[in-house]
Amino acid sequence: MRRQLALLGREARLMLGWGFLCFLVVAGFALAVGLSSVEHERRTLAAVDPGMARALAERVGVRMGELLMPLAALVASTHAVVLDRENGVGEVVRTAARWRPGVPLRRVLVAWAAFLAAIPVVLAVPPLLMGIDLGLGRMILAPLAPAAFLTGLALAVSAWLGSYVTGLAAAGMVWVSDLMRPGVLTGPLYLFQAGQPLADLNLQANRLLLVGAGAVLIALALGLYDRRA
Amino acid sequence: MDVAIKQVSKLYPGKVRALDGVTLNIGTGTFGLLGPNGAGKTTLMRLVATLDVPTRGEITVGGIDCRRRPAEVRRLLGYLPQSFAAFRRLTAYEFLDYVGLLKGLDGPRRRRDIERMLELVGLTGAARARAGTFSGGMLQRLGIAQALLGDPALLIVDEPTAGLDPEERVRFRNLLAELGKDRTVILSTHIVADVERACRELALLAAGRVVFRGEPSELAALAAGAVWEVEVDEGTYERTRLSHQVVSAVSTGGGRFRLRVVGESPPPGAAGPATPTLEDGYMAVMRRQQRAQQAAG
Ligand SMILES: Nc1ncnc2c1ncn2[C@@H]1O[C@H](COP(=O)(O)OP(=O)(O)O)[C@@H](O)[C@H]1O
Ligand SMILES: [Mg+2]
Repeated sequence: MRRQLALLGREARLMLGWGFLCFLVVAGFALAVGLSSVEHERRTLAAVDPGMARALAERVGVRMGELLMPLAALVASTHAVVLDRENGVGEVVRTAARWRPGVPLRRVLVAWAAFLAAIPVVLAVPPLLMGIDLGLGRMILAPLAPAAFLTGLALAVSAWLGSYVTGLAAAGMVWVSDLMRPGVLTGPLYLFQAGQPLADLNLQANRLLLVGAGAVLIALALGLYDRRA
Repeated sequence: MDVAIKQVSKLYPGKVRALDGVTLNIGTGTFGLLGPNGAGKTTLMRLVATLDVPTRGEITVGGIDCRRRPAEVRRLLGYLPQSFAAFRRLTAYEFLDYVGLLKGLDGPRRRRDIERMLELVGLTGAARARAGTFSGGMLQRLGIAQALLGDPALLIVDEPTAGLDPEERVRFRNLLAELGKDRTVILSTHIVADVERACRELALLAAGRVVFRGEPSELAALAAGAVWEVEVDEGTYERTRLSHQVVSAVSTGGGRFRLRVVGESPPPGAAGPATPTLEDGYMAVMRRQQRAQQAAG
């Protein structure tokens, strides 16, 4: 148990760097910009119907969070299956590890712990500083399912092709595609159903599908890490 | 710890036959895997280290099958890859700690082991320095330290002396010979002197096949009656190079050379027989191998 915790700590040091922190700061700023773009409208509304004003800000928050935070999960976790190989340490790690898939699994866990801890901070601080009143619950929940799917996709592709860039590119392509032409490429696995819903998609089913597909893809990545020479 | 390699072949994509029916039994002691670049040494070691699986044949370590129970084999194993690197941002101590954790070593045992290994490879003073600042020799020593963590019964080191200066190389050989006292050490190299000094037994690998297996003195004996020393002029030197395997050529001034050659018949000139060394034996076997290959196709 203590050994597992120590390993998680070591992996955290190897996985998480300035890149992740910088991305969180940028995401926070982007959220602030998004919120300020409707600030005039919100203020006007607030005078007549505070509930509507709150709903408006929340809608922007959900949309921005669902767009930005899955990318934070990607930044945190993309190296999980290739970190040692990129450092020329792959063979040492693969012969030292007793249970090989445990290595990338711990890295994914560490990355996701950091990601989950970051979500409420990044999403709550900008509105707080701007004095905007909105409900945080949906904002925090919205990015989880798309983040799980994109993480799984990126990891499976990196494990398959042996470089994190290809994994990032694959996940990035899906993200851009859903931003530009919602649901065309992804169908029932559409990423942004919470923030910009498609009429013919059920939110709950969509979220379950995304999480399920993400879990399967992560398992696939762990298996590939074990097998690949 | 006995390593049994039975009829192992390995084909890489593109029909590269890196190993071709290799059978070897290796027991306690330091065992040398000698052979030119591309002979298949790294491929064979990676198979034993459960980093890859053979296309044909089977390998067991202490009776445990490498393909079916790789995790159990890894418990017995320390491995130093041919191109060793460490996470640059970790210190030597932190890196060893990480590897120790992966190997399942618990708190006090891990700390004790790490300190012992740092001492053994002479890195105690550099324990708090980042691996990114290490010289090639220091990195190689860190590599052997990580392989030895957990006191593995089987130690596999792939060309560990490459890139070391002569002094480091001698130290390293002695260390490997020492380690072979109570465990199995498999050492691959293309440097004959490494095997001569450190190994009790060796196999010579050429083009994926075992072409010799025995003690170093037996390999040397294979060149008995086939080693000559002769002093010649430059023209004769050139002719000798075509008919014989020149092991060494030293210029003695005035356009003359003192040659040591391996061949079935005496070379041109006033040649005298010489006592074969391990290197001569290596050359003689490789020469026979090449001739057989030429004759075959
Ligand atoms: N991953 C690989 N894919 C294709 N061919 C390979 C691979 N690794 C090694 N080889 C080939 O297999 C042969 C044996 O290589 P190797 O085992 O590295 O030899 P050595 O360690 O004795 O120099 C060489 O011809 C090499 O080019
Ligand atoms: Mg090699």
